[in-house]
Amino acid sequence: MVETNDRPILRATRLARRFPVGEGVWALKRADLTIARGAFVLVTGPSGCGKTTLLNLLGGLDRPTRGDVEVGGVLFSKLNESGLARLRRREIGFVFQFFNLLADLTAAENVELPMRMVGLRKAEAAKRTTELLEAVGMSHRARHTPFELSGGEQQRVAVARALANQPSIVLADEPTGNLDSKNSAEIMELFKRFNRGTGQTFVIVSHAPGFADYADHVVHMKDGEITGIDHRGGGRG
Amino acid sequence: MMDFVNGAFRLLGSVVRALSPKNVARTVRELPLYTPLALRSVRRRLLRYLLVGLCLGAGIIVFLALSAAFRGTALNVAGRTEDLVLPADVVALDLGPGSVGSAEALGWVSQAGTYELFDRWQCETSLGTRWAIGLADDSGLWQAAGVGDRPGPGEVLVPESLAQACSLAPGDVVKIGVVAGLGFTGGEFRVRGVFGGEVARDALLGEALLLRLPDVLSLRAELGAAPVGPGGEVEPNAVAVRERDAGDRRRLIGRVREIFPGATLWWPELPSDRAYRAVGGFLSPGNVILALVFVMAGLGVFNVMLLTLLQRKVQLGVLKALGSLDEEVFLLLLLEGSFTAAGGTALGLVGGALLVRFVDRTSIVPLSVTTSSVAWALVLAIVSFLLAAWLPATLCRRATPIQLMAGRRLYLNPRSTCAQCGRCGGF
Repeated sequence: MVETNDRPILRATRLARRFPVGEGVWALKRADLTIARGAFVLVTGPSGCGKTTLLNLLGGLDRPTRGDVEVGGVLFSKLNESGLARLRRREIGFVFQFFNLLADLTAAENVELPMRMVGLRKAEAAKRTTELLEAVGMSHRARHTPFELSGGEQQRVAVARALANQPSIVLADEPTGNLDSKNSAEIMELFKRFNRGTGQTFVIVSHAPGFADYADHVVHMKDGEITGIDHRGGGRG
Repeated sequence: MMDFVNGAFRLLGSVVRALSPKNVARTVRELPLYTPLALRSVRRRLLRYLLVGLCLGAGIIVFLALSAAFRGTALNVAGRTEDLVLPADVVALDLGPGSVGSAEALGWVSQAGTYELFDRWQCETSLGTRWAIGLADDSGLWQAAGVGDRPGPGEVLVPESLAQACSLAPGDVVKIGVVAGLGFTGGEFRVRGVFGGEVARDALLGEALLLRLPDVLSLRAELGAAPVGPGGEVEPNAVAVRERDAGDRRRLIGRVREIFPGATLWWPELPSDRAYRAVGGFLSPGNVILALVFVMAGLGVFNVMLLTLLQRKVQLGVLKALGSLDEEVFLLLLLEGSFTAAGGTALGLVGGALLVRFVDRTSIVPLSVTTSSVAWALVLAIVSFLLAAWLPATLCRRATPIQLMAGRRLYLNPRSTCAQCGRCGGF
């Protein structure tokens, strides 16, 4: 068992995922992980080591072949697809490598959508959207569609969207993988700022070694297994 | 096979669940969120979604035009066809075994109309093989057929055309009987007169020799050429029924068929019956063609909806990752298709009506769009749209967020064994 803290918000137990390709491929062989509330965790390792698979399982985007995930005391295995979706709405925010903003919507609408999904009234959602876009420095681009934004700008909007419902956990899969070094640093600073300011838990997958400085804990992975964890205690920023 | 049956039951179950009051209420609650999303999506993919509307619209236009053409042609043919002339509304011939005592069985007819028994016998005569019809003295068929001069005992009436062909005159003798062995056995009947005009066109009496019923029955009994009941009685083998009030003929036919299941039934067909037979039967060629129109339209809708889904896997996966329920994504896809489908349906109805009216100006058959054809077009358009959109939307509903976001193949059966096999290729 690899633990980052003794006040867990997220716990993975004997997590494994096998993909039914040919004879079957074990993308994640076994992962035991406990992440504390308010932690800033970086998951790192070589390409193909199972980082993204682990993140998808932690976020309930995929079902494990073995093992279980517990978020805020709720076991994923006890939830059906609808229950899992409802939990994702409120408790988990996602940031993806390719931003994945909805192309049909403007920046503001992208941020507003998760709030509307949980039943927030339009006026309240609009107010919070403005605050979030200001917080990520994108209020001047609120009415622009993703096609009219640069990669860095799109990722800022994606960060605002991930934080829309004030989730307990934000999961980011290679959030800087498509950005230059300046934008990458800005995004990491943004994550760190929200982590410090709101006490939300951040789990970031990246193979960029430089980002370890931001993290409280660095989880190392290799060949579908967690090989170790560094406790850094505070990190940069 | 079991997988298919299971899949069919699951599909049925999902339809029933989707229509449950709880789900309908939730769908209505979600409409304000997903309708603008769907509208935005349609606007961005307008040309593609226009194809959905065009498929249905074209289907409706072809349906209305074809149904008008089939109906017009049937009515035209019905108008040009002469009715079968019969002296009764329903005639049952060769009542078959067990028909003796049929007078009791026919007692119910007195409620619906009148009936009479008569005899129809294919016999050998000196004029060749002929039908001999034996009618009672008080038979209504004499009057119904317009025969004024009735034959007396031992007399026969012959058709005018036959009398001319054989140079028969009143007083001449006609032999009626059967061929037994090498010889002829029968009786002799004197020609009372001839009949022609309207009666000559009668399908039942037209070319037959008309005699008194007792004469025919006694001759047949004598020759052993008649069905005999348990008591040795010989009964007529045909029934003519006339309905009291017009419009109850179908019921009358049904009852006669019930009483004499082996009998051959004749009745003058109404023009509407002929038109119905041409286009109205459930599996009539016309209806099969009309149904195929919507099968083709449905395939068009299916292709467009599937293409739209497959090109937006990532976007739909993101929606699910953000917390959209499977049912909400399903609703979104159906909504997107339904906007242009509704537009296409309206366009099709107007276009179909205009086309039929335009063609009617130069057509030799009367063309018109009926209320029932519009109703059928609407029902078939809605059903074909729902069936065509259901599969792509179900594929999306069943896929996991990561399956969509990673652009993996989608299978109707969400079990991993399906993906492992992958022989069908998925979507």
